[in-house]
Amino acid sequence: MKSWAKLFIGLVVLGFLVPIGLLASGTAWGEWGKDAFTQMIGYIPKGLERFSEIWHAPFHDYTVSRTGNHISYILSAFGGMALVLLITWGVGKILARKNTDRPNGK
Amino acid sequence: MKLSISKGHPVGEKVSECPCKIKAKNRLYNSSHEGFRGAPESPWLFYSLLPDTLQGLSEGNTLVRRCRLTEIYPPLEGPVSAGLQGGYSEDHFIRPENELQEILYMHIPDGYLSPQTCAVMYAAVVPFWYTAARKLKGALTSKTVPLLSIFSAFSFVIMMFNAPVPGGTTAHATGAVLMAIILGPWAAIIGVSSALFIQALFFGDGGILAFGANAFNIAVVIPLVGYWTYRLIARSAPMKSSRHWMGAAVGGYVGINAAALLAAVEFGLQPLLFHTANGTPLYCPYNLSQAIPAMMFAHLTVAGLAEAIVTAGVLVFLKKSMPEVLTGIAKEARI
Repeated sequence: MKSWAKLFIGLVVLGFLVPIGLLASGTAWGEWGKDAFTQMIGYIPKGLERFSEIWHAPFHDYTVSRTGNHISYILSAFGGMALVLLITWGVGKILARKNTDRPNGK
Repeated sequence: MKLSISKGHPVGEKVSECPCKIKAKNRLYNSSHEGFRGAPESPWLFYSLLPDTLQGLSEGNTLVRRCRLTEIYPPLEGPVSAGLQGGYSEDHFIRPENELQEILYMHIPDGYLSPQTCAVMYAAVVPFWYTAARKLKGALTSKTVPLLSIFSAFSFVIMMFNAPVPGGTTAHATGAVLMAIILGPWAAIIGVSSALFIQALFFGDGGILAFGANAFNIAVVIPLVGYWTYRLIARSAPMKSSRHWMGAAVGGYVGINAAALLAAVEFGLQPLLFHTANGTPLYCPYNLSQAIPAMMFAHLTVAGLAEAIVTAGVLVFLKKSMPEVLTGIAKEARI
């Protein structure tokens, strides 16, 4: 088996283990955020309020709608890893292709 | 949760109802009240913020909120309860000593940094992306592209493993130093930036405007500082030398803490540089003396340790079970 294939299996295992990372926080992170400012200092800074919602991520806080906390987190882990693999594979291929005339590097 | 409460002047105000819904350890929150209790079985003490709380914004190194005791739940029995429930109320100054950490994270969300700061951070990170792309162009081969992808995905997933930090916040490793040691710091810059980009775009973990700042802190500073530290300790020792795993551990610890300090400085400069005419902060409201201790506490303890363990642990594991990743492939991949 190629070494990258073995490492890939390691990633799959990690993907299923991510709910361990939820034990520490317990609640969703979204509960902190802007409300927490009202609690802490009594107001929400104006600029912070204006720019904090400039982008609405589709799976904010690793939450996939209509699924439970743990399933959400596992789905996010696999979806996220797939996207990272895709983007780095693409970047890698583009950079490596330009390197074909120097196959041994440097 | 450490709380020091000092008495202010008594004010007569009726006890209000408190339909709190959110439970968080020893705290209860809703929009206007905040409940605390000293021990798990003791009653909740509810405080509401006073409208002029802004004036008590900061005192020395701690945030100070002016609060009023408004309710005790469940109601106390006997004469004590009668006194408290019958309109007993007092102003209190509450100093939340650890709470700042819950708001300041390494992944900076949008709104915490001014657009100007965000622009500066984008300008700072672009030369590193450019240099990294040029270096990779000269070194990446079809054999090493899968490794670049796998370690980038590892960085993404390891950041989902939150570990608890005393005081209620969480911290996590980044895998950035590990990637820098195995594939070289320039590959790590591209790989970790990619992971951060996906986190920001799809999962709202870190801002889009703040992506430049997050990429600079997490994807540039951690790999470069971590890698240099590792090289300093490992030098040219043979692969079986313990210098390698020790260097990896120290590199991980130093790298993530360097980035935390930088993020804290970015947070802490906001109220100094960007405020309204009367001095009210527009973005992150915590100054350097508040942001630095809050960030560094979580990172000098838990996050630094997590990064050290992940970096050294995976390095040792690979050395034992898949040495070809470190020797054969890494030799031509390391840039």
